[in-house]
Amino acid sequence: MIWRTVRIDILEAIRPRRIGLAAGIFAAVAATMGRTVRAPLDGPPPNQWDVALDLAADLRWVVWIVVPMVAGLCAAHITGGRDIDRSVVTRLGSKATWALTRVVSIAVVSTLYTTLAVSVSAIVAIAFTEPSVGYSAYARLPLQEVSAAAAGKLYELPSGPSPVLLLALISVTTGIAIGAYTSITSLIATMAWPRPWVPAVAAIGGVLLLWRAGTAVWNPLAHLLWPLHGPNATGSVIPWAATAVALAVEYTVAVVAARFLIIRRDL
Amino acid sequence: MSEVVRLRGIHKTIKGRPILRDIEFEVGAGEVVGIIGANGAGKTTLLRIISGLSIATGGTVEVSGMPVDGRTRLPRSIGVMTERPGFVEGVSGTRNLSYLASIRGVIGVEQIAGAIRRCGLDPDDPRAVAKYSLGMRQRLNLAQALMENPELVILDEPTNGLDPLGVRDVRRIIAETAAQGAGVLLASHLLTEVEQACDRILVIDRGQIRRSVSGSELRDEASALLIEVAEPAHVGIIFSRYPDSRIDPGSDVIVTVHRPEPTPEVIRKLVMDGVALQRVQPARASLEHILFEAIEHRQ
Repeated sequence: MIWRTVRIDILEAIRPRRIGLAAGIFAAVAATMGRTVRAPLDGPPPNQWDVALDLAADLRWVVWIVVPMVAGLCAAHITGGRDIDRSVVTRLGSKATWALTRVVSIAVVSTLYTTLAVSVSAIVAIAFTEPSVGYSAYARLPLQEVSAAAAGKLYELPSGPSPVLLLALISVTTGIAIGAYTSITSLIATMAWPRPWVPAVAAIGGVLLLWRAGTAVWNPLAHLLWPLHGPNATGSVIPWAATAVALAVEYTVAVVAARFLIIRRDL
Repeated sequence: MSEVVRLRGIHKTIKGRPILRDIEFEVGAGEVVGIIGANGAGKTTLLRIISGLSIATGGTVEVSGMPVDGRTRLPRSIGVMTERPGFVEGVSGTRNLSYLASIRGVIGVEQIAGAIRRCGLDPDDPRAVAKYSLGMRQRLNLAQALMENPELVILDEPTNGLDPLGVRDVRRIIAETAAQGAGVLLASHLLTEVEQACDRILVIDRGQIRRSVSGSELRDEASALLIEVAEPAHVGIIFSRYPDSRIDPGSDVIVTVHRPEPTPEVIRKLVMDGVALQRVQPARASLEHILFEAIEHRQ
């Protein structure tokens, strides 16, 4: 029952015009951002895929671009889908169940939106980053040469995991991390005050909170991915488990808050 | 007739402003009850409270014998057509209804297609709902409310955006639904629609039910004639022939005659009696008259 309801929510959220507009904005921002890839001197050699990692850890980009956009998209989705919500709730027979489905669907929707943001921006940023700018000398010595899709520039492939897999991992994990935050903010805000101005408030709240917390706190997954691109990457179970626990706690809070707010509110 | 809806002492206050006050009524199985009132009278809020979408500040709601509180207890067998239809825009109408039907999982593809057909749409239409006209969306909205054969159907402005054929179809569908044993609650601005479709009509004004009028009462009124005579003295002649008549409270030359026979026959007899007729017309009842009367009474 919950998944069937979530499916309706997700389908409602994936509107081509909205997705296209958001993707366009993300691409335009990524294309115009000046970028310098940072890497520790004694670490593994950086390469173009570090652009994606660097982007995911870029506080300015995350706080001022991704969070407001995704929070806004999520909140617009919540406030915009209220007519279909009524058809759904009267079939579910319980607002508490609906609260749970709401959290699940917003988590999925915000993850989708954020994954879109990270992947579009990363691809554009990679294409627009000059290979000779900001990389170490090591990075400019090609091991294997590949052509980057948009710009046709020559890059080296990392010798670790597949770069495509790495980019997908970065996109999805950053999506989950930012999605967890935006889903809670936008969900609680829109459940409590379902008004058109709520998306803006959700976005501003997100910006202020993340500006104080920093990317290492909100996105431990992306942080953990750094060693993955090097040949000697090992990873660690403990931080991954800690991250999973943190996300579980975030979503538990969201479920409790949503239930508390939803069952007291008129639809 | 068993009760499908039972309301007792329903109050609703929003930010200290009373929206509904002491609402009490029942809807029986197979009965069609209409709710009429001016904009902001509280019709939609009342329907939402019965649907479990809104929470009453006080009072009790029972749907099919089960209490509804708008929090954890919502009606189980209900079909709701809201004023503004909401669908997943990118998929077809049939797909939309399949998604909604999958939540309860009590009907299959055939019943969904049947409901869509019954409401005048083609279940095989591949177009996305985004391409639908307002009238088509309304029909689809009606189909989603009816497809699971609920015990209670709530229709909020069901004929919005429909052409005359669509309005007629809605009237037929409401009658069929009631004949199958469902209780129907209908709110509408179109008084003729309510008048023709409902067994009983509630007039709501400023959150209070001002009057409850049955369909037979309306039909009685509709069968009356409004007669204006030249001289007040002629009124007595009318009363002597039609003792059930009543004089208009605002005029001493206008009389409402409950028509015992065809209109030409009434006119012929009165002319023979020497009554100077100025005007003869059906006393169109009126729901409009009843509504205005209720509002004016309050003012």
